[in-house]
Amino acid sequence: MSAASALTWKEGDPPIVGEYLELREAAGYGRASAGSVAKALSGSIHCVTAKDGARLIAIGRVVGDWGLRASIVDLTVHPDFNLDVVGKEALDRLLHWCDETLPRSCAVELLPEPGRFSLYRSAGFEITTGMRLIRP
Amino acid sequence: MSFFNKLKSKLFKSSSKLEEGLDAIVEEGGAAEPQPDPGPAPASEPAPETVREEPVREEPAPDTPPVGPKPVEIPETQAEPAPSSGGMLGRLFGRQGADVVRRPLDDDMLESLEDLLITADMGVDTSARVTANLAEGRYGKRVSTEEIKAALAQEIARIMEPVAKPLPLYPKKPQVVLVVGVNGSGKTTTIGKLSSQFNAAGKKVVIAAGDTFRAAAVEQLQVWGDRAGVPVMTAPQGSDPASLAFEAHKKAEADGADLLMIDTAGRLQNRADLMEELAKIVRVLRKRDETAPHNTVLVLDATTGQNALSQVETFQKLADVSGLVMTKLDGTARGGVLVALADKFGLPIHAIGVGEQIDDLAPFDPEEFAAALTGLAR
Repeated sequence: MSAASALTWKEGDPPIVGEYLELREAAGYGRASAGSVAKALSGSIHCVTAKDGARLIAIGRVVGDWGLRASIVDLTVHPDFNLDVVGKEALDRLLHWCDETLPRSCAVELLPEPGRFSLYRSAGFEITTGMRLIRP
Repeated sequence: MSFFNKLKSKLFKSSSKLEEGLDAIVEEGGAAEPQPDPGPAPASEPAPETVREEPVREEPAPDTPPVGPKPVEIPETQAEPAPSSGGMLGRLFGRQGADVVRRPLDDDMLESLEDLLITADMGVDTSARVTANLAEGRYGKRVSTEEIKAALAQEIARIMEPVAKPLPLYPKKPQVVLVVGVNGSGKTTTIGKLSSQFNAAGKKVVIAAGDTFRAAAVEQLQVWGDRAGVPVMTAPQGSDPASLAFEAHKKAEADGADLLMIDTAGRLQNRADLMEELAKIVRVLRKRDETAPHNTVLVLDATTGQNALSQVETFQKLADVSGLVMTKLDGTARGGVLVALADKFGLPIHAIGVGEQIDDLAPFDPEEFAAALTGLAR
């Protein structure tokens, strides 16, 4: 497990589609087409990435409308790295950006994966009810 | 090692993936056909097992737990070939007479190709255009990996050809080259390397360390200057870079220098300040030579991917960019962003950098680049 401090963090630049797909694959996420990923990445209002050397090992993005709604999405950490350390660092950076950039009227929300509740709770998130349409 | 081999070696990860991706696409819907005779077309590896791709659909939510099959578009199962052309040639000559896998160039294949090009950082628009051009005259025909690879390299070279222009040299003395770009893009190193190369070619160069805000940038330029025997004009930290540019121009003229290369700040965080700073440098230079600057070169870091496109847009607004230098075509850079840049802006690409050595910055050769990117043997 590597410490978050040894990584190179970058804010603002979305990663290259290819390296993002590699990270997704390594993290065990389902596949997405490169075209969809390219659109998704360019549609982010903010993005945080971490690299270990030249390898992309973590990403977190913010999508939203800049005024009322912003969502933390895609918080992904390579399985070789500690989610609680690297994921927390990515989350803190995203939330710091939200605090600095978005108006107070803008709600920041996310849909946590099972098992990540404590990570998000530690950053101040509270559980609220929500629904999601799982598309076939 | 030749620059091409270095480039191919640096683009190895991406090119081999592009190569593997092309293999996988053809094999997925293809069938082996006996090769009529050991002609020039090399044989592809027959697919060990045809994997039917699941219909592509987006994740319902990005934070969903791992589900579904493993991606199949870029299989990692093949051993990575040697970065030199020997591996490819080895396969070419070692597998003469073997069956060639071909598949019809249909909509599914074109979609997969488009995705593969996006993965190589070519961007959505350029990938779509390149794929459409590839389809022309080939749609419905049965094609092999090698044919697709050659056609792709040809198409990429066609896009890149018009932008492959070395930094133009004018009889005007001193020719003023303003170098712009965000911090960390490799501006200072590029100035150092270009100065060394021009110096070695018999040109007299003067450097102005115009990023007066960053002491490290000034020190770095001084090191390059000492190494190359090129005088570096500096000013105290925080002082006006326009005054430095003025003084540097005076010195360059007095010394009879051929080139004056001016480093600039790259703090995009405050665009208004940067715009004013660059505009002032130009205003002041024009007091001494109304045609200056003769070139405004934007240095871009290839590892920033598609963000390079927005940097070009931004710097075109800040300064009248006349050409590009692409650095750091190594590490995880996919290289495809150069094709996107050429396709979208058509700005001359003066040079590309693949490493830290002076010779690792070389004029941009479109065919060499296309071959390296697609994994084509040369």
